[in-house]
Amino acid sequence: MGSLLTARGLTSRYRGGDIVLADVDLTVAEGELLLLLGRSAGGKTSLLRCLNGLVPRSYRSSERTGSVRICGDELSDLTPAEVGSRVGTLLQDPERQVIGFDVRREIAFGPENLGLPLAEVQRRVREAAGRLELEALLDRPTSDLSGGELQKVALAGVLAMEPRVLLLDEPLAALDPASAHAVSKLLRELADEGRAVVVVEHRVEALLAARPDRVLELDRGRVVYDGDVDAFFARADPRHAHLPADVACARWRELDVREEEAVLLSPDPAAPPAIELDGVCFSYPEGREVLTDLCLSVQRGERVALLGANGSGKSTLLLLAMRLLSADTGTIRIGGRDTAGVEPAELAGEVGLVFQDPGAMLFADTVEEECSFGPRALGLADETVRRNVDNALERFGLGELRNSSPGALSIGQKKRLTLAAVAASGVSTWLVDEPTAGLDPSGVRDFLLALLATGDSTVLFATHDLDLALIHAHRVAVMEDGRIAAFGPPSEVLTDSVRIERARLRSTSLLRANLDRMAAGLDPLSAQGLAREGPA
Amino acid sequence: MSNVFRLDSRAIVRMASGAALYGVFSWVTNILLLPSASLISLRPAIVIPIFFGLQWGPVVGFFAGLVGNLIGDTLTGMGFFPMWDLGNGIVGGVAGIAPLLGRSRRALDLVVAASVAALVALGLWMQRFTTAIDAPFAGPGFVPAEQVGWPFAVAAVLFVLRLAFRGRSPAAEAAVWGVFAVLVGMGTAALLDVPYNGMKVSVALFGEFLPASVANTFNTLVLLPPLIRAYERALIRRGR
Amino acid sequence: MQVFQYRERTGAYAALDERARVLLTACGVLATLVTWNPAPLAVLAVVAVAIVPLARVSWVEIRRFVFFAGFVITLLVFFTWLTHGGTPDERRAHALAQSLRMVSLVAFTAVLPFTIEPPRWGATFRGLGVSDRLSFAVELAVRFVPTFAERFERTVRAQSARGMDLSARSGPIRRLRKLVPILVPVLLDVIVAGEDVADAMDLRAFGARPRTWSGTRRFGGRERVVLGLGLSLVALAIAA
Repeated sequence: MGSLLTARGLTSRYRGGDIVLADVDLTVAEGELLLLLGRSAGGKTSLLRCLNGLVPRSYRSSERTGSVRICGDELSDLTPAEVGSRVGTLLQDPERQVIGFDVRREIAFGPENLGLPLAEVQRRVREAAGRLELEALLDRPTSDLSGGELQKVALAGVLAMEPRVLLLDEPLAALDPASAHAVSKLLRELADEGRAVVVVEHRVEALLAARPDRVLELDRGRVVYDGDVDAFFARADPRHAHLPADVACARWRELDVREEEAVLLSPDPAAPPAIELDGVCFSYPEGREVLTDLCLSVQRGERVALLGANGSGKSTLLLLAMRLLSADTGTIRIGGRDTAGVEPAELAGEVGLVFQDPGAMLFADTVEEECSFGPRALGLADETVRRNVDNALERFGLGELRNSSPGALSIGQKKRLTLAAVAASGVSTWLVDEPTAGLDPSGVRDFLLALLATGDSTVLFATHDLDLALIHAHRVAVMEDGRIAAFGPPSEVLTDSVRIERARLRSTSLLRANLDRMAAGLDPLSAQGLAREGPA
Repeated sequence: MSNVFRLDSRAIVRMASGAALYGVFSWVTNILLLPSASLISLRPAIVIPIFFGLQWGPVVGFFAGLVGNLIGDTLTGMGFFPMWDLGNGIVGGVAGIAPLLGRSRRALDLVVAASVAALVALGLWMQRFTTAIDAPFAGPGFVPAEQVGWPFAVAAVLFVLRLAFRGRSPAAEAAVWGVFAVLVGMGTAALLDVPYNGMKVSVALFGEFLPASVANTFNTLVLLPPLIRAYERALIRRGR
Repeated sequence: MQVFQYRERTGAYAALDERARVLLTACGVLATLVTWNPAPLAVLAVVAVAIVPLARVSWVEIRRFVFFAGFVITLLVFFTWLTHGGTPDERRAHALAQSLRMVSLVAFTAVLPFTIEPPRWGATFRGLGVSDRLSFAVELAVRFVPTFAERFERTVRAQSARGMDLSARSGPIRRLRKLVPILVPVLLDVIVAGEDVADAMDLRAFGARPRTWSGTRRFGGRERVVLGLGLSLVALAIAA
């Protein structure tokens, strides 16, 4: 086994500024899959940029010293075409790296840039598409693809360059559990075919299906661990990586630290329903029917998780509840009021919809102004606006950032700002799309603590994260073909493995660790909670 | 500002982004948001090529204006008007001169002086057309009296912006350059329509240049400063 | 999201290499521009209008455009007629020639967005001799259009959910100001995402060598005939 990728004494810093990477050594051999871990802003993405030459080629404000060798040659001696055909990189967000109008053009983009003959370009497109089972999608516009499809298409575009080294930055982040599992297995195959694969990924449990050969952990730009996976688990910090439940549980016990967790209080059983959908049908103008005769009722104070495959209608349901779309037939009641013919603006003081991507709504000069946009639009008095904004900033831990620009916040802070901006309107019913996507474990914790802090609010959230539904929902609704296929407490719904798989979810180690508890009629617990309860 | 004429990947992405954004925003505002578009709300999207020009230079600005206008026409299905596509390109391209000059105060003064002089000249010349016109429409001229005030009003706004901010506010500076770019671009398009469509200079100036440039000046003054402020504040974090 | 006017079409015109169609339009526009003689202009207008059904573009598809273009043409011709000096005969002749010119110009250009598959514009420009990088900027702009349209839709929804009411009646400044919460998130998102797109292009060796352009058609016999037709239109216009 030859080494395909070697870095020695790799150091990188912003010109005249802070060190980003300090003296990193790394070797990845043919057939080897390296998992790169570490806290946010620990240098993982910067390391990938040094390994593929973007630093300093494109990031001219950064410099690097030390050596990087690809297939035996020094990186800085290679031409861009040579680098491109030896190192394939998948960036974090597939939506932002797909360059072709349709799938065929996307896969052909790299080979076309190499100036290969037309026949060779076509051969590579066929081969890469075949490798990832994308033949049926070749003529689809890339703007129509789901997150999972996009990720595969982006990967096919990289593979068409026939690189020996693959660098993948959070390849599973946008994927539902079933797709994540499939992509993980694919990564193993790609390594086994004789490539060197480096993967950055927070979702450690999902990535275990790729059977990583080694783990490299970075902290503040330095390598703090380089070794096999089992030894890593013996020292890992469950606060910063999504670990398998048994590992996390053991580590919580050993670490003997305590972290605040959101508590799930029981709603008042006599409370009236906050959200009611009754016989709702909806289809988009193109004719695609999305919801058929859908019924769902969420009680005041209840947290309900909405699960289901991509395209099963989860987001559509949230848009309908907010009146951003109108149902074709059926009634939707919010707080007992029929919302037919009501403008979304009239609902905005009562119901808040939080989109997955904070980039969809942040626009103001400061965090404070961002939060006052909603209450001002509702016409609240200045005094009330100020009080609401202060409370919201306090609740979501943004008090010290009130004069910062929303655009300059970290992703975790931005997600909390979207909550604060909605909270400032005084809403009591929350509709949240993919609350935890793109966050690391500490980001997820902060987000949930803030969202679920008050017991009296109603929360309906759409998610692919089965553990989130397990621990933080009173009831779980599974959507299938535009209907609610199952609705009940997690202990009933999530234990039905057939149903779960149809919703493109997969049983998790945390779910399995809780099976005995749930069978005994106890509430499911997080890994930390299980650790504290002691061995069952 | 390193070589703005180098078409590396970043420049190409900015050109394409500016063009697509201009096209889509024209379409969205025309059809989805402002169905009853009065003249004054015509094409608020003009701030996009101006913004891209101001940030990344004349090539990016020109491409964003020209191709963006073509895309906008394509999306609305309104056919092509080549002189106006070119005129929109010139708007972005002229805005792109600003970063080349590195925020020079003298350039800003020159821009204000040239625009004010041209506008005042136009306003004075227009007086001739307010009173008399050939048969069959004897009586009041075809230029309504209140329109004669527009060139003076725009000139006054430019003058005040320059005096009030003395070139120290990036947003006000951008607004001055934006208005100048609109005047040059719309002026060129209207004058090219004279040979292209066989119009008289006066018709091109009053029928096309004046409404287009007044509406776009208004759009620029209202929308460009908040865009510039938001971008400058968001920029603080990203070092590249 | 369905944003483009393009639909797949059958027939001889749709089967032609795009370059031939663009060249035919270019020849038609050029021929129209060089003459004021009503006889060749009538021929040009007839050819231009005849291409529409030949291209299998239905009148229903372009009715909005026909109304709009008809309105603009009528208005401009009327104003020119008002201000044009000379005898009534000269005025009538000028108005006729001007109308024919505008119909020809508009009809020659109108069919292109309906009949050229959007992602093929880049390769078409490349085939006409435009540089790799500029052609790719066009291809990328077209690629961004549906994505940006979706981002606008998403942001309009997000802000409506926060209580923004776009439909409320208000003055022109407030109405424009309402676009800020929509424009800013989309613009910043596009700029930040653009950095990643440029990285992704560099990583896949964009610009390292002259590109291969897949999917180019053959400029064969039929295409040469069409080009010959276009050139003879130009010759006719010059000779007349």
